[in-house]
Amino acid sequence: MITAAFPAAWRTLTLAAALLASSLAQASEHGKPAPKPWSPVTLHTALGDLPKGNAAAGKAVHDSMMCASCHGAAGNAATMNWPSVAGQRYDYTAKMLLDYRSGLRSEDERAGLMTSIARLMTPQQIADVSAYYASLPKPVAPQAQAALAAPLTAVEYKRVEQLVRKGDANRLITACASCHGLHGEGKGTTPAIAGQTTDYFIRTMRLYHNGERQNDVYKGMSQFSQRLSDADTLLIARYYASQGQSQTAKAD
Amino acid sequence: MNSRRQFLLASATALGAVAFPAIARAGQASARIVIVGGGVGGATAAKYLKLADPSLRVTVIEKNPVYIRPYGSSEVLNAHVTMQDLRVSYDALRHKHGVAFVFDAAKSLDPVNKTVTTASGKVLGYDKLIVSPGIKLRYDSLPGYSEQLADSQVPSGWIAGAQTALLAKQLQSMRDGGTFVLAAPPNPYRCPPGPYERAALMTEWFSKHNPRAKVIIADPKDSFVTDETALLGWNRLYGFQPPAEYRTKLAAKLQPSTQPCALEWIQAKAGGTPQRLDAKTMTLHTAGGAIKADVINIIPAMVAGQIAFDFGLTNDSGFCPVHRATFESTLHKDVYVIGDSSIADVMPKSGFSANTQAKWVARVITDGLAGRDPGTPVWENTCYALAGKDYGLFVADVFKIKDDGKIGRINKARYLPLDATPAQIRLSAVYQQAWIQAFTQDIFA
Repeated sequence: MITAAFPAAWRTLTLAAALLASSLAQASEHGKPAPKPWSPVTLHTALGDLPKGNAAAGKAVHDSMMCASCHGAAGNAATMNWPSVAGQRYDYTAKMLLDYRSGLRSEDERAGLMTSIARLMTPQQIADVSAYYASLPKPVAPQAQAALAAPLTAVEYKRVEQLVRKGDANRLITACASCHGLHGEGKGTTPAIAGQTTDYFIRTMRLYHNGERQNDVYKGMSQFSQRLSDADTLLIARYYASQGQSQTAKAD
Repeated sequence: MNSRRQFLLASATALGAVAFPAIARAGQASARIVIVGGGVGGATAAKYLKLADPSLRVTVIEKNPVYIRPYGSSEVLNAHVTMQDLRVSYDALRHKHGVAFVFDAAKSLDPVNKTVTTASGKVLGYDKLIVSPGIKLRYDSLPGYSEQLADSQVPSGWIAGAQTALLAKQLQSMRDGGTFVLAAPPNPYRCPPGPYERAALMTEWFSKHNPRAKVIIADPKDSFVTDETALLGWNRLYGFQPPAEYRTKLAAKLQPSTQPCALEWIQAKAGGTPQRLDAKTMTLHTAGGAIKADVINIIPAMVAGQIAFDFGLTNDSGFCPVHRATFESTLHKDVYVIGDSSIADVMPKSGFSANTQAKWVARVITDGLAGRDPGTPVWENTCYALAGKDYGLFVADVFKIKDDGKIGRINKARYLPLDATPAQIRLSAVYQQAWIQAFTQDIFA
């Protein structure tokens, strides 16, 4: 009797503890419920529910919301501190704005700034600005970065190309290109990363690594970032920074 | 945490090493840079010199062991932040960037033997000296006013510190329906939109906590830098009716008001110029008459910080003449004057200006030591200001040396547009708060 009852009581306790833990996890610091993470289905529905975006209207949103102060006049960040958004995938930009708005993406003070901005935007504006960035050519590396990022040596290039194209089976790291595309062009909610600023790239990987950013639906970046060394990340950041448009291609 | 920091350091070092190639020196010891003043200008210069060349021996002479930031300090008055929030540590500069600090008052300069002597008698030799002493408030410029009164009864709070706390206490405990008078300073002064932001923030705070209170700005001037956008904000938030000369331009945007406004701005031409303080009766006498008040905040005339005078770096204007292209003093070689004390023409006396000047001087010095040409300077400034807690505005400028040899603006648009959307206005306030954080990190972290 006792041996039979104990596991049952134990199961009940465990269930109660699990429920308590999950309700605690739902409660954010101000007692407001934590934003609900996406499932592939809810995300698909939410993106589909956005009105159709218009790139020309998105340019006006970009101007009126003063996006250029960090992301640059035509979506090319002027410094390494901020991401370039030119050429970004529509779905990715739209998802980020929805994530900032809900607080799903809230990794640091910079994210707090974007939350304030996203909450001032209508769904139409979110769709428009996402369409605008998607209509722009891929980014040009900031001037400061061009001077700073020494070209990859042959040895470095070989190493990073292995990671980018083949991954590392020993460490269970999938090739970057398998989600981000052969040229870092991204797909759907997987961001384009060609030409991305190095500091932003490195910071993003660190935030995933530390679990401070976890709004990736399939937990891909969250996992792979655990297994990449700092040296790997720096190399990959430099590699993708060099995959943007060259300075000379920049149209003024 | 630890791995994160190591990661940051590793990437910073790796990137930094590429950005700033080590300076080649034929067997000579690394240069000694002494910086007098650990405010925005001095601290920025120290950090960016070390970033550019970690081998430089950089020493800051500063009398206070903790920095109390003046930018954003009016937000103590409306209880948006606390005095504690203004405190900024020098620890990162010392331990992360390797800047040496001497916590002592700088006393005198020997420009021939290139030494600075401190109050306690320490003598520091330098190859290059950067002086960034901020401002000195001329308490005696208003008859009846004094530093002693400012410390005890009629605070200025324009250099953040105990006077800020005193003023906050006076304002927050002002009697019901009392009058707060702010005496605005004559040009030139530190933080051009600042006095007006302070008055507006208190008008907003009083509207919630002391709704019958009045705020009066007694001004020795007829205009200020962000006046149009600020007056429009005051109109929307407090029912303020701008003076006649602003009404034509703002007309279509102004809202009529039925109630008298709690905020009053008395321009010089309306008799606003402060002439004398009677602290006993708490009366500010202006050109137009006497104003009796419950709390008086005097922002007096300003000149270069005392150190600039002690070092013989000032001219008759009370500020320091510099070669525009380098900010090197025209009076002493190898001495650079940056920030509020320098004469930088149309560049305002702001923390942002001091920061951008400091970065330029760090470059002039490191390139100079390495025998490189630092190129042509471009400076910038942004002054954010609030008309209310959630109503931001700004002036943003880019500067170059013009044909007349003076620093001039090269941009056209400067302000938040008058037809800014509510989202832009709200965002400007968000940016203002973000700027304070980012700016502090740029300098001190």
